[in-house]
Amino acid sequence: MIERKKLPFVRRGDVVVIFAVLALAMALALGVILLGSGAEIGSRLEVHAPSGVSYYQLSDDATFDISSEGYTLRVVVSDGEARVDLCDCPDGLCRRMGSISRAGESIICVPARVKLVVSGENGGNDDAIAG
Amino acid sequence: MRLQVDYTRRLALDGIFVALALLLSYIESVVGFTAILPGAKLGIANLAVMLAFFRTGKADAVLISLCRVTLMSLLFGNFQYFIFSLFGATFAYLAMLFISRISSVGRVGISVASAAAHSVGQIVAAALIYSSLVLVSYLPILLVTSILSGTLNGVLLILIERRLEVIYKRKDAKLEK
Repeated sequence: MIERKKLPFVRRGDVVVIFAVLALAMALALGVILLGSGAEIGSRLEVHAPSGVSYYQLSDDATFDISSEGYTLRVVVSDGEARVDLCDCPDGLCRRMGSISRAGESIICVPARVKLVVSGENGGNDDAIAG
Repeated sequence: MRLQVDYTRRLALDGIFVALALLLSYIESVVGFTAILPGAKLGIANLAVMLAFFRTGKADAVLISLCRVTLMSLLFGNFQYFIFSLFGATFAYLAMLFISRISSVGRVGISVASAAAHSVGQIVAAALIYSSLVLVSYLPILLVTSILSGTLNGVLLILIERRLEVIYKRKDAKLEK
């Protein structure tokens, strides 16, 4: 058997890869921030669930529950912003997505298959905004 | 060093790798990282795939990865879990394949690239399922966690491979006696 020289744990190429991934992350974060801030303030909240779509006005403060796929989401609308306050889904990602108020912004709860989208006066297009 | 093994031995070894990948997948699903950062995982299941990739063969690694995804989905997940895992695993493997061709990149770099590609794959799956790009805004955080988990796995991989080499050397010495 050939005795192999032990290579260092981290090599030069490794550092390049790490910085490339970091640069990609920062570029994406910057893109998301820049694209997100230009959107108009939305007026309507669309709740997409497997059972259908329902609409709420962001100007009216409200708290309501959405049941879907065996999970319950509590959505709170206040000061023109909507957020998921409580959700019993396993990952809880929807609660961490924060508040949405601008047209095109959305919150997705993957396990419950629920999507909350803010739309503006002329109907928001989430894909165009979220970049 | 690549093992020159006959097909039976290789098949048995691949079976062990599948079992190992499945076990590591289960462990990382139990370790509660998702409570702090949803979607962030240790990625240790990729250890088994990478070990197979470098030790037995590139084709073996694909099969082990696919078996892991299918079995995990059948045991603990659903169709949606399957799609997410499949995209993640496919992206991770392709990154491993391409980056490993660059000679200056070691195990850590390959592992980081693979972890990052896994995150990208999952976001692509989410974008396709929900026809919405909103989760792209979550990708930067996932990429940063990929660097951490990828580095951890790369270092672990080096340590495991060193241990394996010692074991093989001992075995060879015994056979020579």
